Amino acid sequence: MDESDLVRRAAAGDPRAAELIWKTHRRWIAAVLLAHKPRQADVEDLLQEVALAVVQKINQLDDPAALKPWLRMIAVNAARATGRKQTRRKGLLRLVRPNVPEEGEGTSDLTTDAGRQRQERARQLGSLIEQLPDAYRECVLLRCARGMSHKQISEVTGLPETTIETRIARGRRMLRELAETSQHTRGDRLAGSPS
Amino acid sequence: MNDQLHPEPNDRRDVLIGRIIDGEATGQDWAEFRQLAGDDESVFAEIAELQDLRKRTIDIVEQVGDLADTIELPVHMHPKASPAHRLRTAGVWGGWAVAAMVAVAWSIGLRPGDPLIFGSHEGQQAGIGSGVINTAGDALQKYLDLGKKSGSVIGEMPSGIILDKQPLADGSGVETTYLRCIIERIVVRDGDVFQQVENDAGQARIIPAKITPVSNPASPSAPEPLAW
Repeated sequence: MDESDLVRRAAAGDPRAAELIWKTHRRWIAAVLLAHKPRQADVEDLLQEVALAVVQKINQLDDPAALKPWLRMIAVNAARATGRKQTRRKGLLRLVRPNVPEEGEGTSDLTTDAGRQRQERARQLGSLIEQLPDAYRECVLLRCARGMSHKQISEVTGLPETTIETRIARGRRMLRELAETSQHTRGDRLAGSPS
Repeated sequence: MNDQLHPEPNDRRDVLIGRIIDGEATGQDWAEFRQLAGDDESVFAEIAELQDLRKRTIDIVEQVGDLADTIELPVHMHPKASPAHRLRTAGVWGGWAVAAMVAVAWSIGLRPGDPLIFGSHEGQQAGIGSGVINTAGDALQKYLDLGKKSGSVIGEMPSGIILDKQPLADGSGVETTYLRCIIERIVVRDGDVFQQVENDAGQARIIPAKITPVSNPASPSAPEPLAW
């Protein structure tokens, strides 16, 4: 069964079809959310929002072939709509759970020095990725999502594959330059700190 | 940002390097790269740095991807899901509560998550005295009465929560899916008490919990503290 059939069945109320669509696409949807969300917004909350919007609105999707751009649009809208409310809520949660790591840090190996260093590097890289222009950031992150080729990213974003490839290449170069600048800044700070 | 990209001097170089670190370079790309590296050896260091950044970015994206794999679709919220499916998959209550007949006061303007105020239960009392259970409402009331008598039921919350509402096709009303909350009491004995903890990998595990006796109980009227 092709994806258009699945979309039609999901729109008609077939829960298994809707679940299959969601399971197929949720990993790259998470990457889109990561690319567009405000710093403090919680990816898990946003994924819940997107899941709810998908199930409630899939019967409004006029063209089943446009599933991927439609899913992306829902994710981008959810990420952008989240704002001060999310930040406030996260602040409250942190009062209760002060050791909750930043988004993207994970909780896998915070108990060892090596793990903490790895998480700190991930946090630093996350803040560099945030500095990329939106359009480059999304392409760079989508390329890192499992199984996302230029062609698939093109289907999601509606951009030509050549544009995708160029954005990824430029985005990576910018990221490398940002990392270099950040390393120098940190080095300067350490060198300038009192012994 | 404009979707149209204006060519930049480094584009070809960047794309070439990108193909190499993604393992997608063609024979022609490699030939071009050899020429590039012959003129500028720093490109090797650049590739090494970009490979490292790529690997670390994949780790970050994998983490949110793994998180996404834990999020299920709330299919019971589909506008066309059958009422039975919506009720079945709401999943947080026992089947008896779903079917219970209650007198409810609600308004069309309520949305999922809004409180739903229960009205009088007088209508449910009919079958109790006789001990005959004809409706789900009778069964629920019987359960509440017997539970209160035995101490296993403390009571029902006076308000429920609307999960979903759908106008009926013929316009004669609105089908409302809602959550009712009943407070129960249970004594769990040592050996049957477990707690959820996270291991070093952040994975949830269930382990037996140690029960600590409460040496200095609060006043008799206060609820018993749970101490484990």
